[in-house]
Amino acid sequence: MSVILDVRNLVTTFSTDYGKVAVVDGVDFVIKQGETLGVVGESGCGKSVTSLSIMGLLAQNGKSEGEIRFHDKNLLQVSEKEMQKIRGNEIAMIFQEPMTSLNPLHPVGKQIGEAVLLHLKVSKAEAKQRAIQMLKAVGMPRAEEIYNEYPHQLSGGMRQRVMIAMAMACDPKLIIADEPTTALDVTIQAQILDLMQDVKEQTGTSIMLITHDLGVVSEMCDRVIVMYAGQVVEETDVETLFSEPKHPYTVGLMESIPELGTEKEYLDTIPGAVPLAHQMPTGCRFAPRCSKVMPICEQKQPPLLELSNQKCRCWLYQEVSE
Amino acid sequence: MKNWKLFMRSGMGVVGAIIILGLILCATFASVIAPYDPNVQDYNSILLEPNSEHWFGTDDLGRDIFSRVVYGAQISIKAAIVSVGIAMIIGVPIGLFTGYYRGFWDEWVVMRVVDAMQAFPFLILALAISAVLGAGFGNAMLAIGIGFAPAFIRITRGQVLSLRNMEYIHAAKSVGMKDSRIIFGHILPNALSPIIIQATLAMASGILAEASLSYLGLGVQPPTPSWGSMLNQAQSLLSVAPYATYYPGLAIFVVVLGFNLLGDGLQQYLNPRTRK
Repeated sequence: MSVILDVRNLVTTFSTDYGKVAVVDGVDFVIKQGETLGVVGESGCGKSVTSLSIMGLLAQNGKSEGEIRFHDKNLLQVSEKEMQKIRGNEIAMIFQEPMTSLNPLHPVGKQIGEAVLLHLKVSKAEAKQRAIQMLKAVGMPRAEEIYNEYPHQLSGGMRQRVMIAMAMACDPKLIIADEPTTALDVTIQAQILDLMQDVKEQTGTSIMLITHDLGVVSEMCDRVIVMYAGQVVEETDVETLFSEPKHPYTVGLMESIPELGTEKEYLDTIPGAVPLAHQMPTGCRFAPRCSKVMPICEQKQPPLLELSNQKCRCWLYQEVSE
Repeated sequence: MKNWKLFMRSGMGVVGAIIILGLILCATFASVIAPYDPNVQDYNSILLEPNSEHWFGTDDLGRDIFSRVVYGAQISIKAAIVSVGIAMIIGVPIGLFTGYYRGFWDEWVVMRVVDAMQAFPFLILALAISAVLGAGFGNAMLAIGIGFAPAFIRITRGQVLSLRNMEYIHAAKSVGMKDSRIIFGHILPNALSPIIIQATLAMASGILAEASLSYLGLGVQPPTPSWGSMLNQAQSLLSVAPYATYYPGLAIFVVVLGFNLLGDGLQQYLNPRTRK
Protein backbone atom coordinates (compact mmCIF):
# COMPACT_ATOMS: atom_id res chain seq x y z
CA MET A 1 0.00 0.00 0.00
CA SER A 2 1.31 3.39 -0.89
CA VAL A 3 1.69 6.09 1.67
CA ILE A 4 -0.58 9.06 0.98
CA LEU A 5 0.15 11.23 3.98
CA ASP A 6 3.53 11.42 5.66
CA VAL A 7 3.81 13.74 8.64
CA ARG A 8 7.35 14.30 9.84
CA ASN A 9 8.41 16.16 12.94
CA LEU A 10 5.33 18.36 12.95
CA VAL A 11 5.65 21.19 15.45
CA THR A 12 2.68 23.53 15.77
CA THR A 13 3.14 26.56 17.95
CA PHE A 14 0.73 29.26 19.03
CA SER A 15 1.87 32.69 20.12
CA THR A 16 0.02 33.44 23.31
CA ASP A 17 0.36 35.68 26.35
CA TYR A 18 2.84 33.11 27.73
CA GLY A 19 4.97 33.41 24.63
CA LYS A 20 5.30 30.73 21.98
CA VAL A 21 3.66 27.53 23.07
CA ALA A 22 4.13 24.24 21.20
CA VAL A 23 0.80 22.43 21.27
CA VAL A 24 1.98 19.74 18.87
CA ASP A 25 5.61 18.87 19.46
CA GLY A 26 7.40 16.65 16.99
CA VAL A 27 4.66 14.39 15.73
CA ASP A 28 5.46 11.73 13.10
CA PHE A 29 3.03 9.36 11.44
CA VAL A 30 2.01 8.03 8.06
CA ILE A 31 -1.34 7.13 6.57
CA LYS A 32 -1.43 4.53 3.84
CA GLN A 33 -3.97 4.28 1.10
CA GLY A 34 -7.25 2.72 2.18
CA GLU A 35 -6.22 2.64 5.81
CA THR A 36 -7.99 4.02 8.86
CA LEU A 37 -5.62 5.60 11.33
CA GLY A 38 -6.99 6.28 14.78
CA VAL A 39 -5.64 9.22 16.74
CA VAL A 40 -6.41 8.80 20.41
CA GLY A 41 -5.80 10.97 23.42
CA GLU A 42 -7.56 13.06 26.00
CA SER A 43 -8.83 16.59 25.46
CA GLY A 44 -6.07 19.09 24.80
CA CYS A 45 -3.43 16.57 23.74
CA GLY A 46 -3.13 18.09 20.26
CA LYS A 47 -5.31 15.74 18.20
CA SER A 48 -7.45 18.43 16.66
CA VAL A 49 -4.56 20.83 16.21
CA THR A 50 -2.72 18.12 14.28
CA SER A 51 -5.68 17.77 11.92
CA LEU A 52 -6.05 21.53 11.51
CA SER A 53 -2.32 21.75 10.74
CA ILE A 54 -2.77 19.23 7.95
CA MET A 55 -5.68 21.24 6.54
CA GLY A 56 -3.85 24.53 6.99
CA LEU A 57 -6.76 25.92 8.97
CA LEU A 58 -4.99 27.02 12.14
CA ALA A 59 -6.06 30.24 13.83
CA GLN A 60 -3.95 33.26 12.95
CA ASN A 61 -1.67 32.93 15.95
CA GLY A 62 -0.80 29.34 15.06
CA LYS A 63 2.17 28.20 12.97
CA SER A 64 3.30 24.78 11.82
CA GLU A 65 6.81 23.58 11.08
CA GLY A 66 8.17 20.28 9.93
CA GLU A 67 6.84 18.40 6.96
CA ILE A 68 3.38 17.25 5.92
CA ARG A 69 3.89 15.34 2.71
CA PHE A 70 0.72 14.61 0.79
CA HIS A 71 1.47 12.81 -2.47
CA ASP A 72 4.47 14.77 -3.68
CA LYS A 73 3.66 18.10 -2.04
CA ASN A 74 4.65 19.48 1.32
CA LEU A 75 1.38 21.01 2.52
CA LEU A 76 3.23 23.41 4.76
CA GLN A 77 4.86 25.02 1.76
CA VAL A 78 2.09 25.25 -0.81
CA SER A 79 0.35 28.58 -1.36
CA GLU A 80 -3.05 29.34 0.14
CA LYS A 81 -4.53 29.16 -3.35
CA GLU A 82 -3.17 25.68 -3.96
CA MET A 83 -4.32 24.68 -0.48
CA GLN A 84 -7.88 25.75 -1.35
CA LYS A 85 -7.74 23.36 -4.29
CA ILE A 86 -6.64 20.53 -2.03
CA ARG A 87 -9.16 21.17 0.72
CA GLY A 88 -12.42 19.42 0.03
CA ASN A 89 -11.10 17.99 -3.19
CA GLU A 90 -8.29 15.75 -1.99
CA ILE A 91 -8.50 16.06 1.77
CA ALA A 92 -11.93 16.53 3.29
CA MET A 93 -12.96 16.98 6.85
CA ILE A 94 -15.89 15.89 8.99
CA PHE A 95 -16.45 17.93 12.10
CA GLN A 96 -17.53 17.04 15.58
CA GLU A 97 -20.69 19.09 15.85
CA PRO A 98 -23.20 18.24 13.15
CA MET A 99 -25.63 20.70 14.72
CA THR A 100 -23.47 23.70 13.87
CA SER A 101 -21.39 22.48 10.93
CA LEU A 102 -24.00 23.42 8.35
CA ASN A 103 -24.93 26.96 7.44
CA PRO A 104 -28.45 27.50 8.79
CA LEU A 105 -29.43 29.78 5.90
CA HIS A 106 -28.79 27.48 2.94
CA PRO A 107 -30.58 24.26 2.01
CA VAL A 108 -28.36 21.26 2.75
CA GLY A 109 -28.33 20.01 -0.84
CA LYS A 110 -27.07 23.35 -2.06
CA GLN A 111 -24.24 23.19 0.46
CA ILE A 112 -23.14 19.81 -0.88
CA GLY A 113 -23.50 21.10 -4.44
CA GLU A 114 -21.38 24.11 -3.58
CA ALA A 115 -18.49 21.87 -2.60
CA VAL A 116 -18.88 19.99 -5.89
CA LEU A 117 -18.98 23.19 -7.95
CA LEU A 118 -15.81 24.41 -6.26
CA HIS A 119 -13.67 21.51 -7.41
CA LEU A 120 -15.24 19.64 -10.30
CA LYS A 121 -15.92 21.16 -13.67
CA VAL A 122 -19.64 20.55 -13.74
CA SER A 123 -22.78 22.55 -14.46
CA LYS A 124 -25.16 23.56 -11.70
CA ALA A 125 -27.64 20.88 -12.74
CA GLU A 126 -24.91 18.24 -12.64
CA ALA A 127 -23.80 19.47 -9.22
CA LYS A 128 -27.37 19.08 -8.02
CA GLN A 129 -27.51 15.54 -9.41
CA ARG A 130 -24.24 14.74 -7.71
CA ALA A 131 -25.54 16.14 -4.41
CA ILE A 132 -28.70 14.04 -4.59
CA GLN A 133 -26.63 11.01 -5.51
CA MET A 134 -24.39 11.64 -2.48
CA LEU A 135 -27.41 12.03 -0.20
CA LYS A 136 -28.64 8.66 -1.42
CA ALA A 137 -25.20 7.16 -0.94
CA VAL A 138 -25.18 8.13 2.74
CA GLY A 139 -28.54 6.43 3.19
CA MET A 140 -30.84 9.43 3.28
CA PRO A 141 -34.44 8.60 2.49
CA ARG A 142 -36.29 11.04 0.16
CA ALA A 143 -33.00 12.47 -1.08
CA GLU A 144 -34.68 14.75 -3.63
CA GLU A 145 -36.78 16.40 -0.94
CA ILE A 146 -33.97 16.59 1.59
CA TYR A 147 -31.92 18.41 -1.02
CA ASN A 148 -34.18 21.43 -0.49
CA GLU A 149 -34.43 21.18 3.28
CA TYR A 150 -32.66 23.40 5.77
CA PRO A 151 -30.36 22.08 8.51
CA HIS A 152 -32.90 22.81 11.28
CA GLN A 153 -35.33 20.39 9.64
CA LEU A 154 -32.90 17.48 10.06
CA SER A 155 -31.89 15.51 13.14
CA GLY A 156 -28.31 15.34 14.38
CA GLY A 157 -27.66 11.96 12.80
CA MET A 158 -29.05 13.13 9.45
CA ARG A 159 -26.93 16.26 9.55
CA GLN A 160 -23.84 14.17 10.18
CA ARG A 161 -24.80 12.10 7.14
CA VAL A 162 -25.05 15.33 5.18
CA MET A 163 -21.57 16.30 6.41
CA ILE A 164 -20.23 12.93 5.31
CA ALA A 165 -21.95 13.35 1.92
CA MET A 166 -20.31 16.78 1.62
CA ALA A 167 -16.89 15.41 2.57
CA MET A 168 -17.21 12.58 0.04
CA ALA A 169 -18.69 14.68 -2.74
CA CYS A 170 -15.40 15.16 -4.57
CA ASP A 171 -13.97 11.69 -3.89
CA PRO A 172 -11.18 12.81 -1.58
CA LYS A 173 -8.10 10.65 -1.04
CA LEU A 174 -8.17 11.33 2.68
CA ILE A 175 -11.01 12.13 5.05
CA ILE A 176 -10.12 13.62 8.40
CA ALA A 177 -12.92 12.91 10.84
CA ASP A 178 -12.60 14.91 14.04
CA GLU A 179 -14.68 13.06 16.61
CA PRO A 180 -17.49 12.48 14.13
CA THR A 181 -19.71 10.59 16.52
CA THR A 182 -19.06 12.32 19.84
CA ALA A 183 -22.18 14.48 19.62
CA LEU A 184 -24.47 11.65 18.56
CA ASP A 185 -26.28 9.10 20.66
CA VAL A 186 -25.08 5.52 20.70
CA THR A 187 -27.39 3.91 18.13
CA ILE A 188 -26.78 6.72 15.66
CA GLN A 189 -23.04 6.48 16.37
CA ALA A 190 -23.07 2.87 15.22
CA GLN A 191 -24.94 3.80 12.03
CA ILE A 192 -22.56 6.60 11.20
CA LEU A 193 -19.51 4.40 11.83
CA ASP A 194 -20.98 1.70 9.61
CA LEU A 195 -21.58 4.30 6.96
CA MET A 196 -17.98 5.52 7.14
CA GLN A 197 -16.78 1.95 6.92
CA ASP A 198 -18.92 1.40 3.82
CA VAL A 199 -17.65 4.58 2.24
CA LYS A 200 -14.09 3.50 2.87
CA GLU A 201 -14.63 0.08 1.36
CA GLN A 202 -16.37 1.46 -1.71
CA THR A 203 -14.07 4.33 -2.54
CA GLY A 204 -10.78 3.15 -1.06
CA THR A 205 -10.25 6.47 0.65
CA SER A 206 -8.10 6.71 3.75
CA ILE A 207 -9.52 7.96 7.01
CA MET A 208 -7.79 9.75 9.86
CA LEU A 209 -10.17 9.22 12.74
CA ILE A 210 -9.70 11.44 15.73
CA THR A 211 -11.44 10.20 18.82
CA HIS A 212 -11.16 9.62 22.51
CA ASP A 213 -13.51 6.65 22.37
CA LEU A 214 -11.51 3.41 22.42
CA GLY A 215 -14.63 1.49 21.45
CA VAL A 216 -14.76 3.40 18.19
CA VAL A 217 -11.06 2.71 17.67
CA SER A 218 -11.51 -1.04 18.03
CA GLU A 219 -14.39 -1.00 15.53
CA MET A 220 -12.89 1.20 12.89
CA CYS A 221 -9.14 1.49 12.88
CA ASP A 222 -6.28 -0.46 11.36
CA ARG A 223 -3.52 1.38 13.17
CA VAL A 224 -3.57 3.76 16.11
CA ILE A 225 -1.41 6.52 17.43
CA VAL A 226 -1.84 7.54 21.04
CA MET A 227 -1.05 11.16 21.75
CA TYR A 228 -0.20 12.74 25.05
CA ALA A 229 0.63 16.40 25.63
CA GLY A 230 1.40 17.12 21.99
CA GLN A 231 3.52 14.03 21.37
CA VAL A 232 2.97 10.58 20.01
CA VAL A 233 3.54 8.21 22.93
CA GLU A 234 2.60 4.96 21.26
CA GLU A 235 1.98 3.77 17.74
CA THR A 236 0.78 0.32 16.87
CA ASP A 237 -1.80 -1.77 15.05
CA VAL A 238 -5.18 -2.01 16.69
CA GLU A 239 -4.85 -5.63 17.92
CA THR A 240 -1.59 -4.94 19.72
CA LEU A 241 -3.05 -1.80 21.25
CA PHE A 242 -5.71 -3.81 23.00
CA SER A 243 -3.73 -7.02 23.68
CA GLU A 244 -0.45 -5.58 24.89
CA PRO A 245 -0.47 -1.82 25.40
CA LYS A 246 3.02 -0.72 26.40
CA HIS A 247 3.04 2.92 27.40
CA PRO A 248 1.78 3.48 30.96
CA TYR A 249 -0.58 6.14 29.60
CA THR A 250 -2.13 3.72 27.12
CA VAL A 251 -2.39 1.12 29.85
CA GLY A 252 -4.13 3.70 32.01
CA LEU A 253 -6.55 4.48 29.21
CA MET A 254 -7.37 0.80 28.82
CA GLU A 255 -7.96 0.35 32.53
CA SER A 256 -10.28 3.31 32.70
CA ILE A 257 -12.78 1.66 30.35
CA PRO A 258 -15.67 0.22 32.33
CA GLU A 259 -16.15 -3.47 31.64
CA LEU A 260 -19.41 -5.33 31.76
CA GLY A 261 -19.45 -8.35 34.04
CA THR A 262 -16.61 -7.33 36.31
CA GLU A 263 -17.43 -5.88 39.68
CA LYS A 264 -15.57 -2.77 40.60
CA GLU A 265 -16.46 -0.22 43.22
CA TYR A 266 -14.61 2.55 41.41
CA LEU A 267 -13.40 2.96 37.87
CA ASP A 268 -9.67 3.23 37.49
CA THR A 269 -8.56 6.69 36.56
CA ILE A 270 -5.26 8.29 35.70
CA PRO A 271 -4.47 10.72 38.52
CA GLY A 272 -3.65 14.34 37.74
CA ALA A 273 -4.23 16.29 34.55
CA VAL A 274 -2.44 17.03 31.29
CA PRO A 275 0.36 19.54 31.95
CA LEU A 276 -0.24 23.02 30.55
CA ALA A 277 1.40 23.59 27.21
CA HIS A 278 3.63 26.39 28.55
CA GLN A 279 4.65 24.46 31.66
CA MET A 280 5.83 21.15 30.23
CA PRO A 281 8.00 19.03 32.55
CA THR A 282 11.64 18.72 31.46
CA GLY A 283 11.63 14.94 31.48
CA CYS A 284 8.91 12.64 30.26
CA ARG A 285 5.68 14.59 29.92
CA PHE A 286 3.68 11.81 31.51
CA ALA A 287 6.07 11.35 34.45
CA PRO A 288 4.06 13.46 36.98
CA ARG A 289 1.06 11.15 36.49
CA CYS A 290 2.84 7.88 35.88
CA SER A 291 2.62 4.99 38.37
CA LYS A 292 5.89 3.48 37.15
CA VAL A 293 7.97 6.62 37.26
CA MET A 294 11.77 6.20 37.56
CA PRO A 295 14.48 8.76 38.30
CA ILE A 296 15.45 9.09 34.63
CA CYS A 297 11.86 9.94 33.67
CA GLU A 298 12.04 13.28 35.40
CA GLN A 299 15.38 14.22 33.87
CA LYS A 300 15.30 13.25 30.26
CA GLN A 301 12.62 12.93 27.62
CA PRO A 302 12.35 9.40 26.32
CA PRO A 303 12.62 8.95 22.55
CA LEU A 304 10.00 7.08 20.53
CA LEU A 305 11.46 3.58 20.85
CA GLU A 306 10.99 0.95 18.16
CA LEU A 307 9.73 -2.24 19.77
CA SER A 308 8.81 -5.47 18.01
CA ASN A 309 5.14 -4.69 17.47
CA GLN A 310 4.93 -1.02 18.20
CA LYS A 311 6.62 2.26 18.87
CA CYS A 312 6.55 3.54 22.41
CA ARG A 313 7.88 6.68 24.11
CA CYS A 314 8.86 5.30 27.51
CA TRP A 315 12.11 4.60 29.40
CA LEU A 316 10.70 1.30 30.70
CA TYR A 317 11.43 -0.31 27.35
CA GLN A 318 14.89 1.14 26.83
CA GLU A 319 16.78 -2.16 27.45
CA VAL A 320 14.28 -4.20 25.51
CA SER A 321 14.93 -2.25 22.36
CA GLU A 322 18.70 -2.21 22.74
CA MET B 1 -47.41 34.20 3.59
CA LYS B 2 -46.22 32.54 6.76
CA ASN B 3 -43.55 35.18 7.21
CA TRP B 4 -46.07 37.92 6.68
CA LYS B 5 -48.34 36.50 9.38
CA LEU B 6 -45.42 36.25 11.76
CA PHE B 7 -44.57 39.88 11.17
CA MET B 8 -48.22 40.88 11.69
CA ARG B 9 -47.91 39.49 15.20
CA SER B 10 -45.21 41.98 16.11
CA GLY B 11 -47.99 44.49 16.94
CA MET B 12 -46.52 47.98 16.97
CA GLY B 13 -44.20 47.05 14.13
CA VAL B 14 -47.25 46.89 11.88
CA VAL B 15 -48.27 50.41 12.97
CA GLY B 16 -44.74 51.56 12.08
CA ALA B 17 -44.94 49.83 8.70
CA ILE B 18 -48.26 51.56 7.96
CA ILE B 19 -46.81 54.96 8.86
CA ILE B 20 -43.79 54.39 6.60
CA LEU B 21 -46.06 53.16 3.82
CA GLY B 22 -48.12 56.36 4.21
CA LEU B 23 -44.93 58.41 4.00
CA ILE B 24 -43.83 56.61 0.84
CA LEU B 25 -47.26 57.11 -0.77
CA CYS B 26 -47.20 60.78 0.21
CA ALA B 27 -43.79 61.26 -1.38
CA THR B 28 -44.65 59.32 -4.53
CA PHE B 29 -47.99 60.96 -5.20
CA ALA B 30 -47.11 64.38 -3.77
CA SER B 31 -48.23 66.16 -6.93
CA VAL B 32 -51.62 64.47 -6.73
CA ILE B 33 -52.18 64.88 -3.02
CA ALA B 34 -50.95 68.45 -2.63
CA PRO B 35 -53.65 70.95 -3.60
CA TYR B 36 -51.14 73.74 -4.37
CA ASP B 37 -47.64 74.09 -5.81
CA PRO B 38 -45.45 74.08 -2.69
CA ASN B 39 -43.28 76.93 -3.92
CA VAL B 40 -45.87 79.30 -5.36
CA GLN B 41 -46.16 82.45 -3.33
CA ASP B 42 -49.62 83.95 -2.96
CA TYR B 43 -49.43 87.43 -1.42
CA ASN B 44 -53.19 87.60 -1.03
CA SER B 45 -53.15 84.81 1.49
CA ILE B 46 -50.24 85.40 3.82
CA LEU B 47 -50.14 83.83 7.27
CA LEU B 48 -53.63 82.41 7.12
CA GLU B 49 -54.68 80.18 9.96
CA PRO B 50 -55.72 76.63 9.04
CA ASN B 51 -59.03 76.76 7.18
CA SER B 52 -61.00 74.76 4.63
CA GLU B 53 -58.90 76.02 1.68
CA HIS B 54 -55.51 75.85 3.36
CA TRP B 55 -55.80 72.86 5.72
CA PHE B 56 -52.58 73.61 7.57
CA GLY B 57 -52.65 77.40 6.92
CA THR B 58 -50.12 79.41 4.95
CA ASP B 59 -46.68 80.81 5.74
CA ASP B 60 -45.33 84.37 5.54
CA LEU B 61 -44.93 84.11 1.74
CA GLY B 62 -48.45 82.78 1.26
CA ARG B 63 -47.33 79.21 0.47
CA ASP B 64 -49.69 76.40 1.41
CA ILE B 65 -48.20 74.59 4.42
CA PHE B 66 -50.10 71.32 3.76
CA SER B 67 -48.63 71.13 0.26
CA ARG B 68 -45.17 71.88 1.59
CA VAL B 69 -45.46 69.18 4.28
CA VAL B 70 -46.55 66.67 1.62
CA TYR B 71 -43.62 67.56 -0.64
CA GLY B 72 -41.33 67.55 2.40
CA ALA B 73 -41.98 63.80 2.61
CA GLN B 74 -39.90 63.40 -0.56
CA ILE B 75 -36.89 65.02 1.05
CA SER B 76 -37.33 62.98 4.21
CA ILE B 77 -37.52 59.68 2.34
CA LYS B 78 -34.48 60.62 0.30
CA ALA B 79 -32.65 61.65 3.45
CA ALA B 80 -33.48 58.37 5.15
CA ILE B 81 -32.42 56.18 2.21
CA VAL B 82 -29.40 58.12 1.00
CA SER B 83 -27.82 58.76 4.40
CA VAL B 84 -28.29 55.20 5.61
CA GLY B 85 -27.24 53.89 2.18
CA ILE B 86 -23.97 55.82 2.39
CA ALA B 87 -23.43 54.62 5.96
CA MET B 88 -23.98 50.99 4.94
CA ILE B 89 -21.78 51.21 1.86
CA ILE B 90 -18.97 52.50 4.06
CA GLY B 91 -19.69 50.55 7.21
CA VAL B 92 -20.73 47.04 6.22
CA PRO B 93 -17.70 46.11 4.04
CA ILE B 94 -15.27 47.60 6.58
CA GLY B 95 -16.98 45.68 9.35
CA LEU B 96 -16.92 42.47 7.31
CA PHE B 97 -13.24 42.63 6.41
CA THR B 98 -11.88 43.88 9.74
CA GLY B 99 -13.95 41.31 11.59
CA TYR B 100 -12.88 38.47 9.33
CA TYR B 101 -9.18 39.23 9.04
CA ARG B 102 -8.64 40.91 12.45
CA GLY B 103 -5.06 41.93 13.08
CA PHE B 104 -3.37 45.31 13.32
CA TRP B 105 -5.65 47.22 10.95
CA ASP B 106 -8.74 46.08 12.75
CA GLU B 107 -7.50 46.53 16.28
CA TRP B 108 -5.40 49.65 16.05
CA VAL B 109 -6.63 51.62 13.06
CA VAL B 110 -10.28 51.05 12.24
CA MET B 111 -11.56 50.41 15.73
CA ARG B 112 -9.70 53.36 17.23
CA VAL B 113 -11.03 55.70 14.52
CA VAL B 114 -14.50 54.35 15.20
CA ASP B 115 -14.01 54.98 18.92
CA ALA B 116 -12.92 58.53 18.22
CA MET B 117 -15.90 59.15 15.96
CA GLN B 118 -18.33 57.67 18.42
CA ALA B 119 -16.89 59.80 21.21
CA PHE B 120 -18.47 62.83 19.50
CA PRO B 121 -22.18 63.41 19.85
CA PHE B 122 -23.55 62.36 16.48
CA LEU B 123 -25.08 65.70 15.51
CA ILE B 124 -21.94 67.64 16.36
CA LEU B 125 -19.94 65.29 14.14
CA ALA B 126 -22.41 65.63 11.25
CA LEU B 127 -22.44 69.40 11.77
CA ALA B 128 -18.65 69.58 11.65
CA ILE B 129 -18.43 67.45 8.49
CA SER B 130 -21.24 69.47 6.92
CA ALA B 131 -19.52 72.73 7.77
CA VAL B 132 -16.32 71.51 6.10
CA LEU B 133 -18.11 70.24 2.97
CA GLY B 134 -20.46 73.23 2.71
CA ALA B 135 -24.22 73.55 2.81
CA GLY B 136 -26.52 71.60 0.52
CA PHE B 137 -28.54 68.39 0.50
CA GLY B 138 -25.85 66.13 -0.98
CA ASN B 139 -23.19 67.24 1.46
CA ALA B 140 -25.60 66.94 4.36
CA MET B 141 -26.33 63.35 3.33
CA LEU B 142 -22.63 62.56 3.09
CA ALA B 143 -22.06 64.09 6.52
CA ILE B 144 -24.88 62.08 8.08
CA GLY B 145 -23.77 58.94 6.26
CA ILE B 146 -20.21 59.27 7.55
CA GLY B 147 -21.56 59.98 11.00
CA PHE B 148 -23.62 56.77 10.94
CA ALA B 149 -20.90 54.57 9.46
CA PRO B 150 -19.21 53.70 12.81
CA ALA B 151 -22.41 52.14 14.12
CA PHE B 152 -22.56 49.90 11.06
CA ILE B 153 -18.88 49.01 11.28
CA ARG B 154 -19.31 47.99 14.90
CA ILE B 155 -22.49 46.01 14.48
CA THR B 156 -21.22 44.18 11.38
CA ARG B 157 -17.82 43.47 12.89
CA GLY B 158 -19.41 42.17 16.07
CA GLN B 159 -21.53 39.75 14.06
CA VAL B 160 -18.56 38.60 11.99
CA LEU B 161 -16.43 38.04 15.08
CA SER B 162 -18.94 35.59 16.45
CA LEU B 163 -19.77 34.01 13.08
CA ARG B 164 -16.18 33.44 11.95
CA ASN B 165 -15.74 30.87 14.71
CA MET B 166 -18.88 28.95 13.83
CA GLU B 167 -18.20 25.40 12.72
CA TYR B 168 -19.98 25.88 9.41
CA ILE B 169 -17.45 28.57 8.54
CA HIS B 170 -14.62 26.15 9.37
CA ALA B 171 -16.50 23.59 7.31
CA ALA B 172 -16.76 26.03 4.39
CA LYS B 173 -12.99 26.56 4.61
CA SER B 174 -12.40 22.83 4.80
CA VAL B 175 -14.12 22.25 1.47
CA GLY B 176 -11.75 24.76 -0.10
CA MET B 177 -13.91 27.85 -0.34
CA LYS B 178 -12.29 31.21 -1.04
CA ASP B 179 -12.37 33.93 1.61
CA SER B 180 -14.49 36.24 -0.53
CA ARG B 181 -17.07 33.51 -1.04
CA ILE B 182 -17.12 32.75 2.66
CA ILE B 183 -17.47 36.41 3.60
CA PHE B 184 -20.24 37.30 1.16
CA GLY B 185 -21.96 33.94 0.73
CA HIS B 186 -21.88 32.59 4.25
CA ILE B 187 -21.06 35.27 6.79
CA LEU B 188 -22.95 38.29 5.41
CA PRO B 189 -26.34 36.55 5.08
CA ASN B 190 -26.08 35.34 8.65
CA ALA B 191 -25.08 38.80 9.88
CA LEU B 192 -27.86 40.56 8.04
CA SER B 193 -30.73 40.76 10.50
CA PRO B 194 -29.09 43.05 13.08
CA ILE B 195 -27.80 45.17 10.19
CA ILE B 196 -31.35 45.55 8.84
CA ILE B 197 -32.65 46.51 12.25
CA GLN B 198 -29.84 49.00 12.70
CA ALA B 199 -30.61 50.43 9.23
CA THR B 200 -34.28 50.97 10.08
CA LEU B 201 -33.47 52.69 13.34
CA ALA B 202 -30.75 54.73 11.64
CA MET B 203 -33.29 55.93 9.07
CA ALA B 204 -35.27 57.54 11.88
CA SER B 205 -32.12 59.31 13.09
CA GLY B 206 -31.27 60.15 9.47
CA ILE B 207 -34.56 62.00 9.00
CA LEU B 208 -34.07 63.75 12.32
CA ALA B 209 -30.49 64.67 11.42
CA GLU B 210 -31.51 66.00 8.01
CA ALA B 211 -34.23 68.06 9.67
CA SER B 212 -31.71 69.33 12.22
CA LEU B 213 -29.11 70.26 9.61
CA SER B 214 -31.77 71.89 7.42
CA TYR B 215 -33.08 73.72 10.48
CA LEU B 216 -29.57 75.04 11.05
CA GLY B 217 -29.36 76.07 7.41
CA LEU B 218 -26.77 73.44 6.39
CA GLY B 219 -29.11 71.01 4.68
CA VAL B 220 -31.76 71.56 2.05
CA GLN B 221 -31.69 75.09 0.72
CA PRO B 222 -34.81 77.23 0.22
CA PRO B 223 -37.21 77.17 -1.46
CA THR B 224 -37.21 73.33 -1.53
CA PRO B 225 -39.59 72.25 1.23
CA SER B 226 -37.94 70.22 3.95
CA TRP B 227 -39.56 69.76 7.34
CA GLY B 228 -36.40 70.99 9.04
CA SER B 229 -36.04 74.13 6.95
CA MET B 230 -39.76 74.82 7.32
CA LEU B 231 -39.32 74.75 11.09
CA ASN B 232 -36.37 77.09 10.73
CA GLN B 233 -38.39 79.62 8.77
CA ALA B 234 -41.46 79.29 10.98
CA GLN B 235 -39.43 79.88 14.11
CA SER B 236 -39.19 83.61 13.53
CA LEU B 237 -42.97 83.75 13.22
CA LEU B 238 -43.61 81.76 16.37
CA SER B 239 -45.48 84.62 18.11
CA VAL B 240 -47.56 85.48 15.03
CA ALA B 241 -48.26 82.11 13.47
CA PRO B 242 -47.46 79.27 15.88
CA TYR B 243 -49.42 76.81 13.70
CA ALA B 244 -46.69 77.11 11.03
CA THR B 245 -44.39 75.11 13.33
CA TYR B 246 -46.97 72.52 14.41
CA TYR B 247 -47.31 70.56 11.20
CA PRO B 248 -43.71 70.08 10.07
CA GLY B 249 -42.89 69.24 13.69
CA LEU B 250 -45.74 66.78 13.87
CA ALA B 251 -44.69 65.20 10.57
CA ILE B 252 -41.13 64.69 11.85
CA PHE B 253 -42.46 63.23 15.09
CA VAL B 254 -44.83 60.79 13.40
CA VAL B 255 -42.33 59.57 10.80
CA VAL B 256 -39.49 59.10 13.31
CA LEU B 257 -41.91 57.24 15.54
CA GLY B 258 -42.93 55.11 12.55
CA PHE B 259 -39.33 54.10 11.75
CA ASN B 260 -38.62 53.32 15.39
CA LEU B 261 -41.73 51.18 15.70
CA LEU B 262 -40.83 49.37 12.49
CA GLY B 263 -37.29 48.81 13.76
CA ASP B 264 -38.57 47.38 17.04
CA GLY B 265 -41.07 45.25 15.17
CA LEU B 266 -38.38 43.88 12.86
CA GLN B 267 -36.15 43.19 15.84
CA GLN B 268 -38.89 41.13 17.38
CA TYR B 269 -39.66 39.40 14.11
CA LEU B 270 -36.10 38.65 13.03
CA ASN B 271 -34.98 37.37 16.41
CA PRO B 272 -36.31 33.83 16.87
CA ARG B 273 -36.12 34.22 20.63
CA THR B 274 -38.52 37.15 20.82
CA ARG B 275 -40.76 36.00 17.96
CA LYS B 276 -44.27 35.39 19.23
